[in-house]
Amino acid sequence: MSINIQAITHQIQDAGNAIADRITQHSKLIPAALIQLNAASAMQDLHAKAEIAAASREWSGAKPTGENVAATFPCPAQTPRATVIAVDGSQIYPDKHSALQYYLLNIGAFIIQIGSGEAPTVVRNTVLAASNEDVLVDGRMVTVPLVNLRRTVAEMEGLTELSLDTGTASPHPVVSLIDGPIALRTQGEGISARETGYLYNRHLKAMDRLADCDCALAGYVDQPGGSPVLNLLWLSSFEIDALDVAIEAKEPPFGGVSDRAVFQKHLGPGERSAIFQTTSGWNEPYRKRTLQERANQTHSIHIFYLNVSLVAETPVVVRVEIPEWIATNPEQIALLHATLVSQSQYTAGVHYPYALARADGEAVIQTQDRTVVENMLTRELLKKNIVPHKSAKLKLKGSTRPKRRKKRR
Amino acid sequence: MSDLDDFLPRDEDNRPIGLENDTASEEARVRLGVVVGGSLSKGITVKLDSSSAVGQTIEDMAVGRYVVAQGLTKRKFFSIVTDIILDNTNPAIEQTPPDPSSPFLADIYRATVAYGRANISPMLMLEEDAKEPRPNKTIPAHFSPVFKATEEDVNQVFGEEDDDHFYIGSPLDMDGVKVNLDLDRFVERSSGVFGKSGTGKSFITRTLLAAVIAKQKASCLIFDMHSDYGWEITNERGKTWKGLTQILASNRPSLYTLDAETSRARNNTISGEFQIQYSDIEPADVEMLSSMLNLSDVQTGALYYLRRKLGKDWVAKLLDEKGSDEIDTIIDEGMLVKGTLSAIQRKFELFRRMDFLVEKSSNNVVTEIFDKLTNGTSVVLEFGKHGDNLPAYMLVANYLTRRVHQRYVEAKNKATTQKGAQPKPLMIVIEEAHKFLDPEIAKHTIFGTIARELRKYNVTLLVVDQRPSGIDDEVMSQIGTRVTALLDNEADIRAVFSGVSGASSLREVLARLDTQQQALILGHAVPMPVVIKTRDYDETLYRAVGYLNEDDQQTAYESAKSDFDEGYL
Amino acid sequence: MSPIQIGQLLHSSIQSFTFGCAIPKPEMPHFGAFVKVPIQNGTAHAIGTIYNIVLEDDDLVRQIVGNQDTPIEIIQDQRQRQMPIEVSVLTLGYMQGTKVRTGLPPQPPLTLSHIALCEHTEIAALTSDFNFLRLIFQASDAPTDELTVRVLEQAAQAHPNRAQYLRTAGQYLAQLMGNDFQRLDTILRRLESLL
Repeated sequence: MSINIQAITHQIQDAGNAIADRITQHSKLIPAALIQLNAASAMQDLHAKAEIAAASREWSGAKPTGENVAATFPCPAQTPRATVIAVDGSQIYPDKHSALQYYLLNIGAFIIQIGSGEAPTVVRNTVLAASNEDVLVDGRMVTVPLVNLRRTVAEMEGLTELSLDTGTASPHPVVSLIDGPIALRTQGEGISARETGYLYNRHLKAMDRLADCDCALAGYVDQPGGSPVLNLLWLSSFEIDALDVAIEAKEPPFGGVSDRAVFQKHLGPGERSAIFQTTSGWNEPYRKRTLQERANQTHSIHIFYLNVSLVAETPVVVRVEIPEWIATNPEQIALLHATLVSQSQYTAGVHYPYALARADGEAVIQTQDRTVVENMLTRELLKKNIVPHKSAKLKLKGSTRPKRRKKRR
Repeated sequence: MSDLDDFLPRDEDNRPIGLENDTASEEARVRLGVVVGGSLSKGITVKLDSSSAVGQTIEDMAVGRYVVAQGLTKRKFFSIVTDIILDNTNPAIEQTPPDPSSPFLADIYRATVAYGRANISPMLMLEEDAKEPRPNKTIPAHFSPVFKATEEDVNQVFGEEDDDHFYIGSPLDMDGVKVNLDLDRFVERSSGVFGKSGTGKSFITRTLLAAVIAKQKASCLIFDMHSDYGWEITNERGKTWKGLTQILASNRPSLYTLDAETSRARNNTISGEFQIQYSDIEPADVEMLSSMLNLSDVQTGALYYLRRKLGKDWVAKLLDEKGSDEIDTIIDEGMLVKGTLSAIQRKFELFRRMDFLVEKSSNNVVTEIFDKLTNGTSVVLEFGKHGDNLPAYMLVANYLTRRVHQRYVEAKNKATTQKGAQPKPLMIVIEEAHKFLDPEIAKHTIFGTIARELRKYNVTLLVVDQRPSGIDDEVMSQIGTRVTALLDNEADIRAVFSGVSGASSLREVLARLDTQQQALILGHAVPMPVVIKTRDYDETLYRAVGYLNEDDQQTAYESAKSDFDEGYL
Repeated sequence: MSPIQIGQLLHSSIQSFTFGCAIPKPEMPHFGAFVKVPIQNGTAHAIGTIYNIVLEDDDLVRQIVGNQDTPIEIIQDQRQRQMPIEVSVLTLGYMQGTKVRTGLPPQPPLTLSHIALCEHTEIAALTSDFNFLRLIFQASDAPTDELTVRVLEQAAQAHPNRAQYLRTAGQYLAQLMGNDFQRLDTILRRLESLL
């Protein structure tokens, strides 16, 4: 270990104190938030307040939909037969210190037919990107945020392909799950508008196709941060004509307590919250994309909170993201609700949808995988008499790191 | 691919070591095992191969069988099996033998952990390309393969059958293979035929005599105690075998008898009646019987005194019931005590029952017999009714042998000094030999003398006996060739092997012979000790020694007649 | 026919090597199977027998194990997951061209070399004498007795007369381990049961 433990001993104590204070403070604020939630649910002008705030573009939060904001929905008693398709992706980021200029995307998918008794299947798609157009953007090396975007698009496209294939073959509804948020989120990451537009376009097209075939698309956000609902509650505590103060306030509402913390107290085992629509800027392209064949519904991202634990003492609240065409379809919501809760019961003590856990396992890239890829690439270059040089920094880094000792029999 | 059956050391070409040469003939051989240890003096240990047929190698082994160890330097070691042993590499298997219902395990253990061992005694060594085997002076090297002896091997050792080599039997389980006795060597030194009663001693002896006489190797003087040799004999089931005088056509022995009446009754063709005049009996003739007559040393000494005092007719005088002045005088003079004299007279009463002892005999049989023997004609002396009278047998054998030997000594000395003709070799055949060659008397009886002086005077013995342990050691050591049927008395077995090197290993062989028609031959006349199934005493043998049956005679007559008719004769 | 490849080498030494492979293959390597791997730039092959197969677990499996009513789909999924299994091989011989020798190879195989099942003819050549059994008996961390039985079972199938092969093998074993009669007896009884 190379940290100066001696030096940070006092800092640790300070940090401990600070964290403890914050938790204590939050625990005092959560009841307040819950009281406000109940209050808001009774407000006639809550929708109006949200509309005003959203229109200002300064405010981002959760807009209520048709459901009462404080309502809780129990998990449907029956888990329907369905085909669950889960997709996750991982990557090897480009390394500007390395002579090997490439990045790699690995998309893993897991397909399980619930109630069929059949063995699930896994699909892996690995893409090594090393061509000029792949790794160079405007003459510069591709950046980490851009790789992330490309990965998210690849995930959605992969999910779409598999959902369409399976959907046409299966008599049962298809649940299409993405690990993490659905939407692309770009804000100030130095990615050109052209690139962004291109990726959004692909992402939306994929979603269009999913909508066409009625797949229950959802993004599953484990341990969600953020507080869009609390933002709404904060907003609701102001009179409609005094909303400016709330919109312009820079302090987070309720002392930085997250929605999750509040809904952990609010949602019973297996229960979901009401559905909200997000008003964030990144939702705009999705809000604008209307689906004519679905009565002009959009891809606008909606959310609800879900307690996937069936144990009262240990609630596990996650955020589920869905496009509007799902949010307005109670059957699909029920399907997602039941599927996600039941999928999260297979692993003792850890509540996480099995299909997503498996997709993650298929997608994940281990350190030794990276070594293998780079050794192969190096060998390929050597065949062409090119000796790839590491940057001096990388060489030094490697030489001073302790080697992992392998256990030999 | 290698032969999985075989874990012997292998050479570069993956062939078992020791089998490099002569592949074709090796294949025909039956391999028994490999040499794993041993010594020249105590014999060689052979680890037996596991046979493809369960237990066959072990159970087919027999003590006395011939095997050939193929040395690694191309020498062959002709050997005899002396013991068979069950051994193992781990004694644990004795505690937990494999379940008989599990042949697989038993099979494997039998080939490996449990195995057979044989002790073999190398007897002769045959160098590559050599015709004659030589006595063994070394042993085969480690892991030399050992094979069953083949016919070829045996023939190489025992030579071909010819005028000097007579076929007397076959090695055990090698019917058709001939073991031939070297007759010259057989008669060169004294020989013995031993065996418990009922083991076929007399058949063996008859075969040997027929050979010696037919091939004119020696004249035989046969003291035929039980009328076994001269004329036809019949067993209890009525089967008959011809005697020597019947089957030997050209060298027909002369048959003398002590019991003319019985001999005539058997239709024997006798050449003469054997009688001894009382006056011809010398004290030395009687001394031989001292133990049988229970003569004390004083009494024995008295015989010589009486002979001097009473003259030639001393026996007759002593037997005279009326007594005589001469005898009274001897007592009166106090030369002998009355008791001694009476005892001698009482013991001499025995002679009265010997009706071949006569006051006066018309012919001189001893001279007649001597002449025949020196002319090459053998003599069979039948005892007839005296056969069960051992004193009579001993008296006669001793009497005649002393006189014949005396004349041979004279003839031999004469031949040596005057460059005359050597007397024809003589072989004297005595039964119950231990009575004559008892250590007590062997030193001063004629038979002991003959045995010890070897063939100095061209006279040798063929002793036939069932108790060789009763024979004086020194005499026994002079017996050149020993033909031994089954013996089970430890002392007798030891006696047979006295003076034979490496004999210990042969003891087991001897103790396990069959009771009939099997014999161990060792010594001068065979290159190595050999256990044989003796050849049948039958028509084939008769012919081999010159017998012509009626058909043969007819054929011979016709052949001679035609020769005559055509003027060749 | 190209040999059936079953995995890739993880690490190796002269005496043994370990390769990784995925579970869902019909030729799933089994205990006692004969495998080969190229050595010396592919000019030769090391031949060995599988003496251990380790299935690693992970957190997911442990969490599922903790749960009670696991649906059949998930059990099946876990069974066929692409989890690497580690297969340890005891080197028994090596092969140059068609010539097969018992004993340790001159060099160990290299990482990521492909492991293939041996052909019948290769097994037959390696096991035509029984010297390979000595290497098994010398192995310190292999389950020697069980491995011997399984290897001989495999080898016997490569020889024309199975029963005779096992019998001769038994004889060799008896010579090799005659001083440990109890063990020998156990192994031989197992061989007998293969007849």
